[in-house]
Amino acid sequence: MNDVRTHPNALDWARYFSGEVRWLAGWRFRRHLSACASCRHLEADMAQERAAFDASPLRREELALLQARLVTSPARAIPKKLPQLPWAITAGIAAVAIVLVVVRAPPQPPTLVEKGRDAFTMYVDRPSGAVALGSRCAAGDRVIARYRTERRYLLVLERDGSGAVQVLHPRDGVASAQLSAAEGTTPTSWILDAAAGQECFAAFFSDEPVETNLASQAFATSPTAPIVPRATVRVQCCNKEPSR
Amino acid sequence: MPSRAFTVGAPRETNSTVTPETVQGLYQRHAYALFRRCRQLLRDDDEARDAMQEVFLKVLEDLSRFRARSSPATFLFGIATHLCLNRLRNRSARDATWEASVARTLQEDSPGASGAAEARQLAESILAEADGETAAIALYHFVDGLSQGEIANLVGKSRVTVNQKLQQFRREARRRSECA
Repeated sequence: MNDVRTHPNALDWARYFSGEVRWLAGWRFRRHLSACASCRHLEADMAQERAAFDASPLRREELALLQARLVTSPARAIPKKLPQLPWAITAGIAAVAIVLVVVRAPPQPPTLVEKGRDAFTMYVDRPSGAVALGSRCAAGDRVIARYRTERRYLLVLERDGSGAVQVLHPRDGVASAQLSAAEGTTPTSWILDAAAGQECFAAFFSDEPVETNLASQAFATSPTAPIVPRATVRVQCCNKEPSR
Repeated sequence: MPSRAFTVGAPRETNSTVTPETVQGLYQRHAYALFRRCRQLLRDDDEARDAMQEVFLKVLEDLSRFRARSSPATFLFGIATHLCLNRLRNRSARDATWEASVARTLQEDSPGASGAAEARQLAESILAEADGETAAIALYHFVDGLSQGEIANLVGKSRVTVNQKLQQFRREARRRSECA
C-alpha cells in the first residue's frame, strides 16, 4: 500500500493482521482507514473475526495437531495418497458398520524423530492426500493410525458418541499387540460409520500387554484422558458429522 | 524448564530444530491471516484449515529460509497461495463443478472481472495455466489486485519477469477463449 487513497489489497490485510504494517506503511494504513468507511467496517469485521478465531478451542487443537505432526511425520514422509478403495463400496458398508477393517500395506516409515516419547496420530485419507485428523471428521472418512514409540506393545481403541468402545488394534484382540517396529502405521485402516457425535481414538503404549477390558473401561469412563497403570495413553478426538 | 526440541526431517543445519515455542509463536502471529487467505481461495473452512497446517509444516521444515525474510507474512501468503492453487487444480481434476465454484470466487473478489462469463473465463485460464508460478502471478494481479512490485517480491522475481509472465498469461487466455 503506497498511497493513502488506495484500498488495502489481500496481501496488505494479511500483513496488517500479522502485525507487519508499521512505520510509514502503518501511518498510511491508519490514514486510509480514517478516511474510508468501507475499509473501516471491513477492518472492524475482521478484527472481530480474528478475536473469535483466536479464542476458539479449535486453535489449541490445531496447534497441538501441528506439533504432533511435526513429532510423528514430516509432510514428505507421509504418502500423499493411501491406496485407493472403491468409495462406493466403502460408503455403503460404512452405513451399517461401526468401522470397516481394511488390510493395507504399511506406508513408508517417517524420517522425523522425537526420542524417548510415544507419539500417535490418526490420519484421514482426503482427496488432496493423507492429512492428520482435525477436530472435525465425517462418516465415510477412512482413517489410519501412525505411531512412534520405544515401548513394545500397542493397543488402539475407538469410542463413539454414545460411549461405546471398540478395539481397533489388534483386531478383536483381548490385549495389546506386540509391535514389530518402533514406528509405523497400523496394519489396518478404518471407515467411520454414520453415527454423529464425538469420536475418540486412544493408543495405549506399554512394555507389557494391556488387557482390552481394563483399557476399554478406562476409556469409557474418561474419553479424553484414560488412565491405565504402566501404560502411556495418547488420545485424539474429532466431532463426527453425517457427511463431509 | 528446558524446552523440548523436535528434530524435523533428515539431519540438517541447526534450523532443523524447532521448539514448541517457535511453532506457537508462528501460529499465534500468522494463523488468522493464513486461514483467511486459504478460505478466500478454497471457499471451504475445513480445507482451509488443512491448507493452513500444510503451510506451517512446509515453513517449519526449513525455518532458516523463513527467518531470512524481511516480511514473514508476505512469504507465508505466497506459500499459502501456491498450495491453495494446487489444491484447486487437484479439485478440478475430480470435480466437474469446480469451474463454476472458482468463477464465483473470482467474481466476488476480482474488481477486474465484472461479469460471470468473464470471471469464469479468468478462472479457467488461471487453473488451466500449466506453469504454477504464472498461475499465481495471474491470481495476484487479476484477483488480488496486487501491484507488479508486490508480486515480484512475493514470487522472488524481477518486475520485468512478472510483466512478461502476465503478458504471456494474457496471450494464452486470449488464445484459449478464441478456441472455445
